[in-house]
Amino acid sequence: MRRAEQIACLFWIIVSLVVCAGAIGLKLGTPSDPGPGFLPFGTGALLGILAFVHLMKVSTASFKGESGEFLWQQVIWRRTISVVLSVLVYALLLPHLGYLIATFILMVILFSLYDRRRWGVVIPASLLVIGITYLVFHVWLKVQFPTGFFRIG
Amino acid sequence: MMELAQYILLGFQSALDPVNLAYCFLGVLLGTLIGVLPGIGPVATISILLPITFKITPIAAIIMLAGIYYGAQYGGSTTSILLNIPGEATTVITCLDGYQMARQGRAGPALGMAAIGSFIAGTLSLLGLTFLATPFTDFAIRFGAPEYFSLMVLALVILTYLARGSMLKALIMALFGLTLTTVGTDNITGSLRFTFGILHLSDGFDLVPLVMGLFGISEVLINVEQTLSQDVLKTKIKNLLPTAQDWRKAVGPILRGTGIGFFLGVLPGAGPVISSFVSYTVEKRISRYPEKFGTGMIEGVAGPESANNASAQGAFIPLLTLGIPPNVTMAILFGALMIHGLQPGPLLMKDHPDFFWGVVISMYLGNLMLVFLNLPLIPLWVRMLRVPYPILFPLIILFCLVGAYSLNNSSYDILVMLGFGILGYLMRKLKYEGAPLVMAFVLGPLLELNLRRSLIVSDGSFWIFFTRPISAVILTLALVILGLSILSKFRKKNQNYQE
Repeated sequence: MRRAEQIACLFWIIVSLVVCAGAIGLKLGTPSDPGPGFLPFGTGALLGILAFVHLMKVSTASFKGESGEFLWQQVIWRRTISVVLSVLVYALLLPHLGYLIATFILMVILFSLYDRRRWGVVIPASLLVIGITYLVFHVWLKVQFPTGFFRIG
Repeated sequence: MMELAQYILLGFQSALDPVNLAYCFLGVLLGTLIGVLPGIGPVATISILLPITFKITPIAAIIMLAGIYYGAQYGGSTTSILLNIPGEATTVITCLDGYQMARQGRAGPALGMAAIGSFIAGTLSLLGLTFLATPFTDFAIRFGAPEYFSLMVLALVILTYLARGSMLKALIMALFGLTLTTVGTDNITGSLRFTFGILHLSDGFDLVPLVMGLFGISEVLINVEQTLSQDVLKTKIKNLLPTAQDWRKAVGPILRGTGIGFFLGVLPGAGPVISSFVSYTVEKRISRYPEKFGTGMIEGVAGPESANNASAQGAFIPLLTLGIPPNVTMAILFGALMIHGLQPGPLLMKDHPDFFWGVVISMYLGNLMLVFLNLPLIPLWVRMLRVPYPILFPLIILFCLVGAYSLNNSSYDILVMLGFGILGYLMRKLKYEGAPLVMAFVLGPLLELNLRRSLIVSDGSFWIFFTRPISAVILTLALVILGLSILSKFRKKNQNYQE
């Protein structure tokens, strides 16, 4: 827990340094004529100070009760990573494959995440969901979906 | 008074329009549904449905989104009472006595009292909204840039002060949210800020992928990594209408809960969660049998359930009259109003009375619909609880994907949403709250604009925030709250050291 907290604080400190450096480059201006970097510099600097205070706090605090606790213990990693990767790949392939094909593949993956063997349920369920969303969003709400290379949809 | 009556009539005209009525029904239905289902809350649902509302009129959109918000307060109690799992954070406290009542075979009166208490509280709170909207608006018209800046600072300070976890973390989140608003084109000088040469970033981050990622995707990521148990208490739900004895016990808690909820709802940062806890504490403290709380006391259901609903309705006052969202859901509604071209604040009621009063009156109708949706349909909601998460989560993800894509017909928004989803997931793991981030993100542009305007007017003097009376009072209050929080931390540390 302590290590994760420290990494988070370091992340905020890096963010604050990037923001402050960027804000200086943007022109801070003066209080009577604040420039575009005025507020970001202020928020960035405060963010860095608070993150540093928190870093000191977590570094000196005792984590007696939580020494054995780890944030990602007893977690089914496969599912979390599968969801993130499948959404990432979906975003990249959507313009090329089109809504119907890309979403069908995604739905099959997501529906079979908990139980891989039930193809007889997964495939009809995926087709049903795509059909309904296509009708609601494309036909009724006029959302323009990509058709992809195959010009389907 | 005559003017108010005219406005109310105008509101009825707007709210009773068949299309608006249908969206009101859809909103409260969806609200009840997501309130019942653990694993998805009103913030995530409103975020997911936000892009869909771009295709409908602003009034229908806000009526529906508001319906989801207050509808979820009704639905959340069902899971608390029957499963001992709160459907929403606002109904956590209902578990204590509601579940015990269900175990004693009194699930019916518990569910019935939750729904009726919510209805009474919601309606009374709406009466407060109706009569206080005009005085609030008249007061807010006197606000200039310094007052608005101070009010936004106060809202952020209270929100971080009341954060469930560490205040330091909440402040970090608020500052990060403010920083995120500075990405894109500067409204005053037109120069690009923090775009790193990425063309898409020139317009900054959109609210929709940000909230969908932070609340929708991250919720899914948290839920899929564990196996959720969905054991519904097998009890026969009978006698939904409470007995005369139940009524005698519950009238006081309902009225007190309404008062507490309404007051805390109007206050920036408090909201329905805190209202329900405060109401429970008050009821326990004034009860002649405090030791019996937690064993199935109807007062422990009636008070908090009334408080969370009164608070949900009361929260619309600062949003619609001052233009200050008091909680994260209101912040998303604030964003929705802006996207629809309506500026929340004192001029909203003056310039668009049909919209303002239409939304208010629709909430009366929505409350009425909710009683009929909740009481007779409880067996159906219980059945909905059995929808397994493996079926539910792909649908949530698909709604998020379509919502993000339809914003600009671009996969880039899906990537932004996924990025914020991962950030939200890590934030939840490390107990950083998303609410201050979103509040700051929504208020950020106005906060910066009002800060810069005030400084230009005062020729660079920060004293402008203290020389104007309203601004001085508000900012002093914010500083006192910050000071008190730091002081109490030091006191605690000292006490621990001495012990």
